[in-house]
Formats: sequence, structure tokens, C-alpha cells
Amino acid sequence: MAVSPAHADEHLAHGESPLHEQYEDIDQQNESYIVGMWTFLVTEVMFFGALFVTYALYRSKYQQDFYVSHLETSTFWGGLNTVVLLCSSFTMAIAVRASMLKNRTTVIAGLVPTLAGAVTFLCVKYIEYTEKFTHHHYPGPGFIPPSGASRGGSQIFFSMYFGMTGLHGIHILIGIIAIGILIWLWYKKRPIVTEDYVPTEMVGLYWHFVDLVWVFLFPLYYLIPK
Amino acid sequence: MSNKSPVGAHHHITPVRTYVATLFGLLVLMALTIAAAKVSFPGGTLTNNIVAMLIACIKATLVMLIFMGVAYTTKLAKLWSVLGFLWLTFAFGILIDYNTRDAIPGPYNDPGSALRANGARDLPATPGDSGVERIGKPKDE
Repeated sequence: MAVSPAHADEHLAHGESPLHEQYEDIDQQNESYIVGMWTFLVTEVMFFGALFVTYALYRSKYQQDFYVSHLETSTFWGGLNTVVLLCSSFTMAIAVRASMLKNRTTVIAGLVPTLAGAVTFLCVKYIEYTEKFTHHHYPGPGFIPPSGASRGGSQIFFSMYFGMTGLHGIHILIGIIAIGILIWLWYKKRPIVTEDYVPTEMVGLYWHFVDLVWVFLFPLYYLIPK
Repeated sequence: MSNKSPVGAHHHITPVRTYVATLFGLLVLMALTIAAAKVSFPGGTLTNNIVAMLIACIKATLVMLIFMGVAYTTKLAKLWSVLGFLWLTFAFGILIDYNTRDAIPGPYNDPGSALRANGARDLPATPGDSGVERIGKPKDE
């Protein structure tokens, strides 16, 4: 035992150490937190994974319709969003690194552009969605398929497009809230983040995962081969 | 690892240049995917898909190993980081016979057609009567 119960109480009373009493030492505690976060991410992989499997099935069945429909998506906006997310992942990694080194200024300097990237991503998504809606490329009675695509196959494409990028967009939105709170905590010098790098690390893992999903969504919706 | 410091100063600090190199690599790979999508590879759509997914997998691996720090984390966390993707492999694995499923006579895909084939047009669906069991039965039972 690295910390006796009395010792742990003392830590809690002073609010200095991030080590909770059920853990032997900080390494064990950190590992538990990180494994817990990965467990959550596993459920996320399963969640998105099922949609990717669905995509694979419909794509194999309606390849031609998917190809024609995907021409309505813009490689420019999709590519821009990829760059934005990759860069925000980078700044997030810098922020997490700085949180390990307890360098508050760098943490905030890393998190603010990450947040800006997340907001930019949603703005671009807004532009893209608006374009789809003005062309009536949304599934439903008002749907107008792109010329050359069948109504059924094309509707499946756009259902999946809105479903998957929409779900990803919700994740971005949650990310914005999480990163926003994190910035506020760092700004206010709250010990929960300044004394323990793990909360920052966990938001970081989440954000990289959101980036990871987009890495697959981008080629599957914007770059479909003929 | 015998350091008893409660603040825990012994987590891996990745050099900034590693992160910069990773970002650069990811951006190059992104440009590569866009370029590859414009080329028609021998073998057609399938080859194009394989190339695109291969690049995406390399990008995902880079993000996980470096940005998410899987390369430097504990063995237990490493195990958890691959579990979801292992599940995903199984999920895709159940589809390997997808293209041959149409070769199996209708009832297997569509229980409704089995009922019609047996001449019971308005037969209500009963629990356990999926049509699958009916395949082996002679038509004029």
C-alpha cells in the first residue's frame, strides 16, 4: 500500500492530491480511468460500426446509385473538414501533452484552436446540409433524386449520409461542450484539471475518436469510385 | 515504476515534433486518398475501395498510436483499444457470404414467399413459423 487510509483522508481534506483512496497509487488510478474511457470508446466503435456494416451492405447493392448520388457531395467542403479535424486533433494532442507537464498557458493555447476547429466543422456541415436541402436531396416525400440515380437507391444513400454524418455531428457538438467546459476549468485553475492530467486526457481521447470516425466517413461519402 | 509520488510524474511525454510529423503524415495521406479516388485502378471499384480503406486504416492507426497515445500506454489499455475493432471485424465477417445468399431459394430470404409457395396466401404469421423450416418440406403437403 502506497497510501494508508489516514494518508488518503488527509489528501482528500486538503484537496491537493488527485489520488482517490481505493487506488494503490496514481499509476493504477490513471490506468483505471484510461481503460474506462476506452471501454466507452469500444461501445462507440460498436455503435458506429453497425452503421458502417449497414453502409457496406447497401453500397454493395446500390453501387451505381451511391456513385451518382455522391457526386452531390463536395470534395472541397469534405476535404476542408478533414483538414480542420486533423489539425484540431493535433492541437488537442498538444494540449494533453501540456496538461501532463502542468503548463496551463499551453493547455489553453491548445484547447482554444481545438474548439475553434470543432465549431468550424459544424459551420461547414451547415453549409453542406443547406445545399442538400435546397436541392431536395433529403429522404422523404419531397425527395428529388440526382439525375441518373434511382429514387430508392439514392434515398438510401442520403438517409445514410444524413444518419452517419448527423450522428458524427452530434458527437462534434458534445465535443464542443466537453472542450468548452475543459477550457473553463483550466481558465479557473480548478484543481480537478490542474492537479490531474486525466480529465484533459479523456476529453482528448474522445476528440481523437471523433476524428477517427471522420477519417472513414470522408472516403465513404465524398470519394466513392465509379 | 516504483516512484511513489502521488502526482505521478511518470507518464510518457511525446515530443512535439512527433505530433507535428504525425499531423504532416495524416495530411499527406488525406491528399493521397483524394488523388487515389480520381484514378481508376486495375480491378475497378473493388481495388479503389481497398486502396481508400487501406489509407483510412493507416490514418486511423496513426491517430490511435500517436495522438491517442496507445503506443505508450499500459498493456491493459492497449488491449481495450483494439477490442472494438476486433468486434467490427466479426461484424463484417458475418457478411462474407452476402453475395451468395441470393442463390438460396426465396423462402430463405423471405418467409412470406414460403407461405405463398405453399398456397396459404392469407395465413397469419405464427410464432416460430419463419418459413425456414418449410424449405425441406414437399410443396404439396
